[in-house]
Amino acid sequence: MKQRNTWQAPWSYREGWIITGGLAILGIVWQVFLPAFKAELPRWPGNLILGLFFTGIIVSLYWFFPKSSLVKWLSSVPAAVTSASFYCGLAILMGIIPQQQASPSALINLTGLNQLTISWIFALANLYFLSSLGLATLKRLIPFKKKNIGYILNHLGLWLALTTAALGSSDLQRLHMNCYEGQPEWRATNQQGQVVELPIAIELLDFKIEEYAPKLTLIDNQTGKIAVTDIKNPYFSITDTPFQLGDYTIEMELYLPQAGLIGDRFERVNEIGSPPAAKLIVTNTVNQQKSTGWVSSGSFRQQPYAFTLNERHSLVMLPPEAQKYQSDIRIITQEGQQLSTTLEVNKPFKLGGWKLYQLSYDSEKGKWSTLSVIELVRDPWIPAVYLGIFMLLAGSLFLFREGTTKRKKGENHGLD
Amino acid sequence: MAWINFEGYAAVTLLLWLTSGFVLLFGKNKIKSANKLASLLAGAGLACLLLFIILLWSKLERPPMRTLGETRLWYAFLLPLIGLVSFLQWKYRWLLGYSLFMGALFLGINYLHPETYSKSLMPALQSIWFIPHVIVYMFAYALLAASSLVAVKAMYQDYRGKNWQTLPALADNFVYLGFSFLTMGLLFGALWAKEAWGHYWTWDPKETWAFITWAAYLIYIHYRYKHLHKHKQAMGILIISFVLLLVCWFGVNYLPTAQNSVHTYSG
Ligand code: HEM
Repeated sequence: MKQRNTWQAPWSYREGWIITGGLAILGIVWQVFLPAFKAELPRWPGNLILGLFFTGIIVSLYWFFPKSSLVKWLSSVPAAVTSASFYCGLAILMGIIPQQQASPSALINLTGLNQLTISWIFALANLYFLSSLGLATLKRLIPFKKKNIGYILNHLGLWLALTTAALGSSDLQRLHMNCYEGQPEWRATNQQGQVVELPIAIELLDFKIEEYAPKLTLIDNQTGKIAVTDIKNPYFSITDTPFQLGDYTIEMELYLPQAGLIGDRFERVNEIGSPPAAKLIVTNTVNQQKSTGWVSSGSFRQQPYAFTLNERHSLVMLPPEAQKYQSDIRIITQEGQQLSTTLEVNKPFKLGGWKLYQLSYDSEKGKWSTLSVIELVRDPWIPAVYLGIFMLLAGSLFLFREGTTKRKKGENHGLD
Repeated sequence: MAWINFEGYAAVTLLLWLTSGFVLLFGKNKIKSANKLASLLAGAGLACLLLFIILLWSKLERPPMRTLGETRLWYAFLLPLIGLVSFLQWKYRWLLGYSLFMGALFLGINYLHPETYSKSLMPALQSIWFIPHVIVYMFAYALLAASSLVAVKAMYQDYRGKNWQTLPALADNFVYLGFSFLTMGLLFGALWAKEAWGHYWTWDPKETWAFITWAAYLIYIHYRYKHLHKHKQAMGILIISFVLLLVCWFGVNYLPTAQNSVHTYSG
C-alpha cells in the first residue's frame, strides 16, 4: 500500500489520535480558562431540543454528505476504536482519581479530573464517541437489511441508551426525606443540600428491622483487635455454636434476644434498647480448662459486655446485622387522597412520576430507630434509556451467533 | 461452619484433573480413546466440584457468590467446564490442559486460604437480580480468561517461531461469547442498581472499572473486524484487556477510589 499523508482521505488511526488529542487539550483548556462556563446540559425542554439538534446534524450529515471524508471516517472502525479508547482512558482516570471530592493535587482540581463526569473533556469525549457511534449506526440502518438486525440492535441500542442517559441527567432528581414515626413530612433535600417542598406528604407509620443472629469473635485484650488472623472470616454466628476459634471451643448455654444486665448476669427484659446477650461455655483446647461467662453486643442504651477469658483474650458479641428493613408509610396528596404502602430495600414504590426507595435509618439505634430515610427519584427519561438497554440485551444474543460461526476468509472488509 | 470438608472434595477433583492432564500429555498414540478418557476424567472432577458447590449453597442458605473466595470456587468450576466443552468441540488438547491447570490453581488457593462462611447477606444483595447478574459475569470472566490463555499461547508460539495463525480465530470465539455475557452482566447490574439504589449508573468505582473492561473488549472486537490479519496487535489488545479485567475483578479494592465504593465486599 502507498504511504498516505495525514489528513489525506481515507482518514484512519493517525487522524483519530490527533482528533482525540485535540479534543483532550481543548477540554482541559476550556476547563481551566473558562471555568464559569460549565459543561452543563439544559433542563427540559432545552435538553430535548439539544438532542433533536444533535440527531438532526448526524442524520443530515449522513443524508447529504455520505461520501465526505468526515462522514466516512466517523462511521469507520478507526474512529470507533479511537473514540472508545478516549472514553475508556477517561474512565480509567475516573477509576483511579477519587471523584466528587477535592484532590490534594491542585492540578487535578484545576483541570476538573476529580469531577470528570461534569468536565469539558468528558463532554467532548462523549460528543466524539456518540457522533462516531451514531454515524456507524446509520451506515447499516439505512437502507435497512434484515441481516443487519443484530448490528442495529447493538449500535442503535447503545447510542440511544447513552444519548438519552446523558441528556436526561439534567432532569434527574434525587431527593432524601427524613421521616420520623407519626410525623407527616413534605420537605426533602436534594443532592446540592437544598430543601425542596413536595406536593405530597409522607408519614412513617412503622419502621421494622429483621436482624441476623449476632456474631461472636475473639479479641486481643491489649490491642482491642481481632485475635485470630489466619482465617479470613473470624466471626461466627451464635447459631453456629459449638465452634472452634483459635485455641478455644465455644458452646452456647443460653441466648437472650433482648436482655438487661442485672448484677453480673443477664436477664430477659422487654425494653427499648435491650441488646441480645448469650451465656457461653468456653474450653481452652490447650489445657482443657473450662469457663462460663456472658457476652452482649450492647446498644445505644447499654454498654457492650465482653467475656474476658484470660489476660490475653476476650470474646465479644457484635451488634446484629440487618437482614431486612422496611417502612410502613402513608402517602397524602395535596388533594387529600391517602394511600398506604410498605417500602423495602430492592422494592421501591411507584407514584406518579416518582419512585420511592427505602434508603436508610438511624443505624445507631438500629431496630429501635424511629427514623426512616426515604429517597425520592424522578427520572423522566428512563423509558428511552431502558428501550436502549433492552435493545442491547437483545443484541447481545446475536453475538452468540457471531462467536460460533467462523468467519470465512474474504469476509474481511479491512484495509490491511 | 467451615468448608463442609472442602479438602475432601478438592482432593478428589484435583486427582481426577491431574490424571486427565497426564492422559492429555502422554496418551498420544491412541488419540481417540485417550481424548475420551481425558474428557471423562475432567468431567468427573467437574461433577465432584459441582456437588460441593451445591452442598455449600444449601448449607449457607444463600448463593455462594459474595466473597472473592466464593467466586474463585466458581472459576475453578467454570474454566475447566469451558475448557472441556471447547475440547469436545474443537479438540484443542492444550486448552483443556491449561484450563484444568487454572481450575486446579484456583482450588489450590482456596485450599491454602480457607474461609469460614458468613450466612448474612446485606439487604441490597437480596434481589432476584443477584444470581443472574453474578452468574452471567462469572461466565463472561471465565470465557474472557480462556481467550487470554489463547492469546498467551499465541504469543509463546510466536516467540518460539512456530505457526500460530489459527489461534486468533479461537480467541475470537471466546471473546464474542464472553463479551455477550459481559454486556448482559453490565446491563443486569444497571437494572438492579435502579431497583436497589435509585439510579442505574452512578460511576461507582466498580461500575467504572466494569465499563473500562467492557470498552477494552469492545475495542478488540472492532479492531479484529477491520484488521483480521493483524494478529499480533490483536493479541496485544486482548492481553491488555485482560489486565483491565483483573483490576476490575480484584484490583478495585486496592485503588484510592475504593473507599467510596458500594461494591467492596469482604473477602
Ligand atoms: C454494544 C456495543 C457494540 C457491539 C456489541 C458491537 C458489535 C459490532 C460487531 C459485531 C461488528 C461487526 C459487524 C458485522 O460483523 O457485521 C461491529 C462493527 C462496527 N462497529 Fe460496533 N459494536 C458495539 C459498539 C460500537 C461503538 C460504540 C462504535 C463506535 C463508536 C461502533 C462502531 C462500529 C463500526 C464503525 C463497525 C464497522 C461497520 C462497518 O464497517 O460496516 N460499534 N460492531
